[in-house]
Amino acid sequence: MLIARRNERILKNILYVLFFCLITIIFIFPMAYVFGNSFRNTQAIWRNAYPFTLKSFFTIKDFTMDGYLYSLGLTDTARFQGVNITRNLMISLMSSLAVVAISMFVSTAAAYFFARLPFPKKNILLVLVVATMMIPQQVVTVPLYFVADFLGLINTFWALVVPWYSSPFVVFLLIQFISDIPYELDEAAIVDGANRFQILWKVILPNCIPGLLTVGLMEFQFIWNEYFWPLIAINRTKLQPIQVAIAAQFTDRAQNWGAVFATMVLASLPIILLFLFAQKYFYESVASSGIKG
Amino acid sequence: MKRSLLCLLMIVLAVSLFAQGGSEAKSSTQGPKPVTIRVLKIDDPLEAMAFRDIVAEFRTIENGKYAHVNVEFDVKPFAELFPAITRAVATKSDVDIAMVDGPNVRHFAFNKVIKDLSAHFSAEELKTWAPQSIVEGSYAGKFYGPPLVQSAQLLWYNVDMFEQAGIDTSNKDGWKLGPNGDALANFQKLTIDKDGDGTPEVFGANTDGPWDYFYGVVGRSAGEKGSNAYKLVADDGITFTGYFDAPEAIEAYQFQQDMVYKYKVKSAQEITNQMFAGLSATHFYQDMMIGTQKDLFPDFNMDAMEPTYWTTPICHTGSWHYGILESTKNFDEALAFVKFAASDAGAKYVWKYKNQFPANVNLYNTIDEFVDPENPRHLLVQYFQKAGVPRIATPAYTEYNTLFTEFWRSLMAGEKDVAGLAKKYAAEMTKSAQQYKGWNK
Amino acid sequence: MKTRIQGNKASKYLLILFAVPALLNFLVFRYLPIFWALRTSFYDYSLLAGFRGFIGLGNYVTIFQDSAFLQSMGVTLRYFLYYVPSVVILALILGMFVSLPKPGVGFLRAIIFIPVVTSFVVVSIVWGMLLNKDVGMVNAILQNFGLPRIPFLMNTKTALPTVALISVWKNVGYSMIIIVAGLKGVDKSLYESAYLDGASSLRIYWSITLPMISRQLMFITIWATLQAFQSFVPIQTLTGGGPNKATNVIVYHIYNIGFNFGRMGYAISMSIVLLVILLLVSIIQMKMFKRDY
Repeated sequence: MLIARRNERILKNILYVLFFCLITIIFIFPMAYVFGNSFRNTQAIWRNAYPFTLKSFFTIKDFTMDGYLYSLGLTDTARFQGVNITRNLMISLMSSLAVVAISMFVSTAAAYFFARLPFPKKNILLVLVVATMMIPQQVVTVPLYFVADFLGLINTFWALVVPWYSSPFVVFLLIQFISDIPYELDEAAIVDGANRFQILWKVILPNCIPGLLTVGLMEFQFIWNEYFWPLIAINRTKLQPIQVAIAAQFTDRAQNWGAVFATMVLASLPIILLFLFAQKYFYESVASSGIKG
Repeated sequence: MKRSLLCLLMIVLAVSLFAQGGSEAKSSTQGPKPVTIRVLKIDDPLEAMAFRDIVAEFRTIENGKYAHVNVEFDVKPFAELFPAITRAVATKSDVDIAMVDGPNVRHFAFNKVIKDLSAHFSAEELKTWAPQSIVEGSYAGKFYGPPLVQSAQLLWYNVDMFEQAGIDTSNKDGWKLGPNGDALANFQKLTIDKDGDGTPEVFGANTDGPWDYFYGVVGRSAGEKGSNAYKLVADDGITFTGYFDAPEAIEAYQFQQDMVYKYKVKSAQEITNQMFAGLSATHFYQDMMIGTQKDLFPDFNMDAMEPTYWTTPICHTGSWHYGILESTKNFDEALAFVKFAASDAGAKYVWKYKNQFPANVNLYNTIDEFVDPENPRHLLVQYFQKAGVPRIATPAYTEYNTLFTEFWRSLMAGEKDVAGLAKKYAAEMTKSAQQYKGWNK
Repeated sequence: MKTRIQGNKASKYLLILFAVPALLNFLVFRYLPIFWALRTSFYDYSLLAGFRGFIGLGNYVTIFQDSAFLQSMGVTLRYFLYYVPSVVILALILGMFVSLPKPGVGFLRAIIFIPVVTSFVVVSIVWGMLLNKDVGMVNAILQNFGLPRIPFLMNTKTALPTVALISVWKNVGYSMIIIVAGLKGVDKSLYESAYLDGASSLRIYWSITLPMISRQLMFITIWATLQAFQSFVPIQTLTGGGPNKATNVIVYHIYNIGFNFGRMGYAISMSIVLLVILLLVSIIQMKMFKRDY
């Protein structure tokens, strides 16, 4: 009996390791490919690209930081061509942060309204809000462009922020989180004489931090990864966020692949770090509050 | 926690207010009011460098007559430029000049998007550019804009691979395509499959982007000059049935597919930098290859010969043209800029950075690389003059090109009924062009 | 009886102020464009030529006779069927796997999430290289194992599932995190009592775990559905709707018709139809999860 249990455990461990390796290979390989190649110049990349052998892939020679230097605008050619990924990264970072920060207040207030506050015909209003999530972005983009143009937003930094400072999906999600908070907490505050705003500030907000984090991360990532809207709303190279800047590197001439890969690594690094940092905090708060995330 | 959130918000808002500072170049305070002209063009770092110099010199010509003019560039990736121009027009935005892809000049002229410039260019001035460029930049007999550069294609090849395969390169004439032609025989010699697994390590021929610029010539080359296949579209510019799917053209499409699947001398999908990476012995492309090779692959031993053909040697020509939008409020300045940029003085800068075949006759008749008979660029000029044709004259070029790309992708994917596929797409092309009926009356 | 805050009727209507900033955003940047789009769908409109004539319901009538539209909807439906179950099931499996108390799960969580935050444009290009029939790594591996090479993106039968899989690979990370958060909130004692009662692991999972994370399941299903219907970047980058329209999903088709074929009015009417369809689908999905909001 004991031997059977031990064998079972060994089998489970082996399965775990196998599955672990499989997942690692599938998910990390393309990224590792990009990361590894970001340290090579174009010639070396293509010399080792096809046909694929383990030896060609893992070779250490031809290491160069040229790709990164070009991306960051530190080489002569880059300066001449006006390439500077840090500017694009800053634009993306600023716009993402701005959206998250504003949405934190605006969307939470709206979610509080729908979840808690009595209002006639509230449900119809909610259905109208949720319905807007359904229309595909590409189509709305054209009239949205007209609207934004009318408001004088096109080709400015605010074009990246203002249309997105709140989102129906975010409001919808937050409604779920707020609904989870037991009404007793509200009641306790009411008994203490709090008005609705104080309830929002002191009771609701602290209790849906995991929800806020989830939603904040999602919005940040949405704005960071946005491609289509900035592509059409922003024309000035100086104002291009990171995704557009990456796509713009694919000109009709053969491009500097080492720089392209380096750009991609630089573009992904901040948000990966952000996620890793937020992840710890996120899981801790979920575990400690005991509320379903 | 909440307080830090509030602080974060304040900081973010404050910083973002500063983030949108764009640097507007300020011109002199005296003299005429500063004017800004906006140019919508393709995103290309080399062109960016060229235009930097062009703008700098533009502001000094004629004793600084245009020193008060700022030129700003809005750039888009290639696939987005056409929609961007249409959007700019739809929103009446303040774009003055748009760089229009040659075949689309007609489309925009038909929709009265760009201005007719015939009155502003004398016959003498028009001689600055190659006749093919003038044709491409015209519609219904009127001139709409001078070209940025020109283009033609050659068959570039890996000299070492050719030597190893024992191919005679003293004669630069193009090889004939077809099941019995020397093109196939040579490609087969160049295709290497050492391990015999059915997938060559080196392909004889290469595969390019599946659009009309590279592959529209396949069907056209199969016809005699002036035949339906050669014309690709009827004279009305909107009927493709009977032209795109002419019998000789279908034969040529079939052969292209056979090169991939039957003879295996060509890869089914495009592979970036195929020749430079050592995966194909040849590459059918414009003269930008020279710049790429010098910059990125300096050890590569490359030369060029005339491209392959079926019955009639042919290659596509054409490039971007400067178009002045109807909605411009600064016509005089825009016109002056266009004239300067396209003149020999301006085009010189484009040549300097982009290293692409200029459209200015004086330039390619005097620059060393084009005059030296040993240099492939000389071959390029000769072939351009001998076999270069502009792309088809139709206002429905974008529709046609989109459909052509779909057709070619399906062909390269191994579609069994090639004739049926060609007929189907010819019908669709005709259908999508119907809305322009009467365009050239 | 819920404790209520005292207030008069007038102040009740003021409550909507909580939601006004968000509602303003939705009105201006979502509804206004939709109304403009709706109005335009009754015209023969092209971006270059402008409004060419009122045609009432003409566009809509054409849609239902348009074989291209129906074909594209068919492709989209198939894409939806490939994509959504894959993402949901994979998110569940991976979510469970990375919640195990074993070493290295944090690392796994991170690498599965990394594709989520990277540029879809570059990711598509890298996968395109990897899946190339002649020189791609995946086919080289297949051949090593004696399997035939597969032209993943060139074959009409495999192109669509391949694009779906690439999207799954890129997006599953986010859904997985939501599942992980949900699993953390499940009370472990429930497992213990069921295990002691002799229930098998599968039974436990089905009857206890799944219902406890049903809210998270609903989120990721609806989220995956919306993403499936809005899939655009990999198709534009890799297949252009081909080969032979095998990957001509509806959003790409609409974009093509509107921007490349100059029939914006028609394209917009197709999006309105799509909007209605998506609304119905979402309502059905929400009813399936038995929540009423």
